[in-house]
Amino acid sequence: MFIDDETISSMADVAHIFLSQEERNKIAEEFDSLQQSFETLSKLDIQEVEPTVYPITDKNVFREDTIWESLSIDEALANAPEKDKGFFLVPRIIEE
Amino acid sequence: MKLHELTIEKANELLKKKEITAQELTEDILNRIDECESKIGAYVTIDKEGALKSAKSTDEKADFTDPLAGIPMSAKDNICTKNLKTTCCSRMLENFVPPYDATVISKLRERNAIILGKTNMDEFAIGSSTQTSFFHTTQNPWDLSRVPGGSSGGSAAAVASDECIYALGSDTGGSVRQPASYCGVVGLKPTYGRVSRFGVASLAATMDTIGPITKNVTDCAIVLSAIAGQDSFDPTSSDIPVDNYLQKLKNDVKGLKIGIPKELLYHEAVSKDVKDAVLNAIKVYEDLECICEEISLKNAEYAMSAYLVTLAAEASSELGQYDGIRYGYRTSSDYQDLKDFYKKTRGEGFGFDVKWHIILGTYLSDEKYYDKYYLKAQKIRTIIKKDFDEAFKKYDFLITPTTPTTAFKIGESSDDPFKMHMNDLCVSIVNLAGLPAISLPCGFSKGLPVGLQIIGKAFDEAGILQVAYAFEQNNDYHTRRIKERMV
Repeated sequence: MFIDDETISSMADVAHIFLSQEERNKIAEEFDSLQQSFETLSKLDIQEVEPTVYPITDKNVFREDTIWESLSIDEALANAPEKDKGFFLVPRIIEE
Repeated sequence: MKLHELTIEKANELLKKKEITAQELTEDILNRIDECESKIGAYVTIDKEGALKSAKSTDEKADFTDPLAGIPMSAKDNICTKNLKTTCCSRMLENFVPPYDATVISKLRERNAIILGKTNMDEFAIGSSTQTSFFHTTQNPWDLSRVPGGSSGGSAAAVASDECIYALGSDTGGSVRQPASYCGVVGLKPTYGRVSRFGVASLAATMDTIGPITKNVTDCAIVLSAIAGQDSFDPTSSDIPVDNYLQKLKNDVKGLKIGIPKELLYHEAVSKDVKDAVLNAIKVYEDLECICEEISLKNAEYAMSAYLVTLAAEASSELGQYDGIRYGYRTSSDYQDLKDFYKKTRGEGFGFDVKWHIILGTYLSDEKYYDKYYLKAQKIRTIIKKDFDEAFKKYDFLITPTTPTTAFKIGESSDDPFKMHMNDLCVSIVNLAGLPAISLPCGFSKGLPVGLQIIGKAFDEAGILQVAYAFEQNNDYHTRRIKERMV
């Protein structure tokens, strides 16, 4: 087993995703099937090589700090699952 | 020729001469969609009213100087279209209606393009068969028991079945080129940064591109000319000027040097029929007096693994935005606290393949494993880029098969993840390096199309189009879909 159920549960917790036991079992199988891929990576010794993150462009892009027209409040809220008086309604995060 | 079988170039000619109207063309294609969709399922949303309204307005303007004016097209459902549902084929965005257009769509609307609707895809563009769509699987017009490829399978199938004149797809690891190959049409992945990604749902921010899927190479050049260019809304878009792709299309290819990476053409996964079709294509280039030689991309064997790690790690980050707060699916189950709310929303909203990739990416990005996998994958990107740079010092273009095999049967590969990933053997390496590449039909195997991939230097889309055009003039592979497809 490349990865155990406890580690999968821990990763699901970090990623904020609920997984059923059946899904966790299937994910463990998926990890196993990729073991060859991971071994391919680990056998290559390239410690001294610099990583490439962006393949082509690698410069910061700025614009002038000027106000320009963006979405209206109604447009921004148009797809909100719940809304009220121009606000997104969200689950309570502060204890009573 | 029926109206829906027209290319952009031919349709524009008839529109300019007033032999047809944009409304007639649009109505004919909408009828074609009605005829095909129960068998192919290329679309998830069809905007009949919007398309006919645009066509009428375009006819009233009566200006067809722009080759894309009045031409009906479709867009992959991860490309935002204002007031038209954009779902990424996920329950998470099942009812999402964007309040703005993606830049590529704005550019096409400015040219009076007619948007027919949104095409099917693998959920959030993770996949290579269109089987993970939340809605349905699309069938390949050449053989309805087979996949169209993915993740832009709906777009490729729509073009192959003449359910649109052209389409847009997105390509992160082959998702324009691979379905184009499976469906016998042309698909181009531009250089990273050549086409704005603003308004396109992000999958892997350092590899995502948007590209045209068309019936021939000339049409591909026309569409790319319209959508390429810097965009202030996309800080990764390039300020390098856009070439005149049409002007350079018919340049002579005599004397060009073409490299053939042996690690890809002769890989054990490549079927004999695909290899033979590509070798025949190489003979065509030799007859055109190109110099074709085998080369080595010595680190190609690590590309697939590096791609998978990069994809999963970046996707797990990009997909973090779907949390049921500002838009998208929200759980209706009871929850204990905010974290429980997120877990239920995301657990219910995403399909299994998306969840699995998020877990994989989270694992690979974890500080315990970061150096071993993600950082290593970015170092492999460096050595692969160097391999390409070395190859392009001596060669103008590289040629490979687009896919190791022709389209597989629906359900065949989906339970073997490594086999699924092998579909991307020749294409994902290009995304790691950010280079441009085009796929076009180069033959058939048991009645199914085989794709040829031409890879160019960064920002040499004009060159790969020119080389593709030269090949296309020597055969009829790109028109055989009309007589040989099943629908």
